[in-house]
Amino acid sequence: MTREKILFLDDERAWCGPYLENLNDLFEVAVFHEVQLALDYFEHFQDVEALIVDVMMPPPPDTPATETNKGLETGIWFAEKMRRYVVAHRSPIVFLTNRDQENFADRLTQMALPEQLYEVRLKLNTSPTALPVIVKQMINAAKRR
Amino acid sequence: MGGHLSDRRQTDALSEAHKMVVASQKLRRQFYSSISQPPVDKKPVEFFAWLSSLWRTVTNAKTTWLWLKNQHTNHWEIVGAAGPLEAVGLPQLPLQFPGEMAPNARSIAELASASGEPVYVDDIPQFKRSHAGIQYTVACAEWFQENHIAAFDAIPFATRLSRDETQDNHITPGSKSLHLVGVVCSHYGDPAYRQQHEAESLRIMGDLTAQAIAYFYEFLFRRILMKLNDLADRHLTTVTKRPDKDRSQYLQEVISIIQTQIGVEAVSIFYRDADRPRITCLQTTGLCTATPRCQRISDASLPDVVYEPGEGRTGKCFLTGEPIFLPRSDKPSDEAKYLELARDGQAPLPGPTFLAPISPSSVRASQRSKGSPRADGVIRCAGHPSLVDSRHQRHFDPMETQTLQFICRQISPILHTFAVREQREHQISLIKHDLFVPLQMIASTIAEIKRRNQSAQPVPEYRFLDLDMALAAARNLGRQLEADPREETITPERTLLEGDIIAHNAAMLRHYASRQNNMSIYFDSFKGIPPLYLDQNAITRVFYNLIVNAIKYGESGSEIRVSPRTTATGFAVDVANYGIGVSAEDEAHIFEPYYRAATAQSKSLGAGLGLYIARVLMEKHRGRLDLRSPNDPTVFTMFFPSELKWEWRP
Repeated sequence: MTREKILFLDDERAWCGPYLENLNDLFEVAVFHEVQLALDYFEHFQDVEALIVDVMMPPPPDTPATETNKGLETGIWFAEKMRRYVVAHRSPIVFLTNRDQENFADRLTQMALPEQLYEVRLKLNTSPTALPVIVKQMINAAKRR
Repeated sequence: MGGHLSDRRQTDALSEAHKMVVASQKLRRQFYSSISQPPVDKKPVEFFAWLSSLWRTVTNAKTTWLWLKNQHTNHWEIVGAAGPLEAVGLPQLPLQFPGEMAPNARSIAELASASGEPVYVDDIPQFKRSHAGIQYTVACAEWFQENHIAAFDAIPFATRLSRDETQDNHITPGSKSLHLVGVVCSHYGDPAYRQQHEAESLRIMGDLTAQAIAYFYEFLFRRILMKLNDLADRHLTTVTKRPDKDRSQYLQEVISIIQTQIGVEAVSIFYRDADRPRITCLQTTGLCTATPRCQRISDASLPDVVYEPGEGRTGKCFLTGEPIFLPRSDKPSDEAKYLELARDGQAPLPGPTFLAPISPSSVRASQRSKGSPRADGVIRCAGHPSLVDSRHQRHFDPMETQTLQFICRQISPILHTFAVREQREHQISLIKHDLFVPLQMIASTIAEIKRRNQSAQPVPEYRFLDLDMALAAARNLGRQLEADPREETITPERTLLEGDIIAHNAAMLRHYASRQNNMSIYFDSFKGIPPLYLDQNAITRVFYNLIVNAIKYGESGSEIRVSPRTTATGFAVDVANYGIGVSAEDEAHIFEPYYRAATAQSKSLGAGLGLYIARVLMEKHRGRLDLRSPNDPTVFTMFFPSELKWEWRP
């Protein structure tokens, strides 16, 4: 059985090891540590079943500071760019972050993603072993609709 | 009999004259009592209307006009009027700017104000002949004749304004001696009304008028101050997590105070950025781009409305900290990048524009380095409709520019407080994020150790390095939260750089380097470096910060080299890497707190404190932290003076 492909985007390479080790057990993971590279990937491939995205990341060069709130909401900015893909492919997106959701709740509401297609998970409350299970459940829920 | 009759006639005439004198005395008494209690709670426009109307009642004039001299332009401008205004017909006069008199020595306002004496004209045809060539005066004279005005006068008044406000050192260069100079002009249908007033009492009435205006402005400033205090109270005492939103609401209300008190249509408030010497628009009544065509700026893109120091008039006001008064022009200033929009949001306003600097308090101003902007921000006002014809703009008079500068001074500390709060909030966001990262790493590593322990599996060595790495990061962050590093006390103890500092951290840092950026760290031998008296915690932090920077901003797969050397005056440790480097423009700023180079911002998030703290800690050791080479490789050098070989106390 071929494993489902998911995208993982987090700028902190040193700290995401445990998550990746566990995700690799269940999925084929396309890992990116720079937002621009992830965007480039989507230019050529539209094959991931889920996206795991950090929220606070350095913005790609030349992005107006307001769009990413000086990097505090780069992940949300990325999701806005990916919105069409997420909805069309029913590929859910997990915001895996240490930033409080209340800080970007307005922006998430504005994006109006269908409920089953996104989830905000605090890294501190999401153990590396639990993450693959959560993602799997979301993919299944999105497929069932 | 005849004598008797004539006597009676005389008596009648006398009693008639007496009645008039009594009546005029009564009116004057009314004037004195009213003007001694002016309605100080009114807006300036309403107050001047009240003054004109008081004059009109007392003098029995058909219409009364109050003119003030604008010291910026030297023109006379109408600030208040009473009487059948539609009949005054000034908008129909062939003037480019209604309600305004160009300075002319023969104009009645100028004559009265220069001599300090009331000027009275009751022969209008003669007046017209003697003033031929002065378009405004002739046009008025013609209009007087058509409207059965038989006589008119001009009563001058002058005073110095508001002692306290003009004595401080924030005055515009053009208004060092802020004199209020004005005239009251009355037009009479019947000269008899005018004749009952003696020149002396008119002069006194002029003086009282000037005093009332000064009194009014004192109250206006006090009222504005109270309003601003109240605003600050409401918006600063509730601390929320969104200081930017609080500030936005606060500024919205400040703008509405400016609009009502100065009668201005459009206001934009610019303020300095946290991490860059430039100003950004925080709040506006509406802005558009100047070129190529007027394009409205949405509220969401206001943070992108930026002026660099010295850029255009706004940037110049920011850089020099001096107010700028832009006279009226038919077309919007072409130098501007952004222009204030008219209320309908359709077209930019054609000026005049007044730019007032929001200057820092004198304490903070004295801390400014040379060449850095003198102001913290700029308030820009445009759209100042003429009282006579709202389609036309009038100039800002000195009182208005004073009022705006007064407002600037009042809001300066509030905006500074907001800026500090916002920066703190941003920093807390970053620190919270950065603190949760190692915490989560610790949590997941412990979970894994437990799991392996239960199944009696060995725990791989790198798991422990992960823990070390997480602890070091958390510890460093915890210290960043502490107050000013300049106030930290250090405790020097005998230290071997290699044995006490590097050896303890090398494995963890190597692990971090390889995980984060696939980099390696090479340590040269520290053989020639003797034991030094150092605070081990502080120097570990400096060292940690330098290596972490070298990793974050280094090229993937490259090597960081740490090499000590002996210099003429002490010992140096170079930390060299290949990576994004430091650009020439950033070189001067990288050790400043909160400064973040543009290239660094796209590499990693951070508060911009690492290098600043590191430098302060080195200076506490009487040493230095320098950028020795900006590029290829980038080399930061820790310098320890020889004297650290001996025991010392800070």
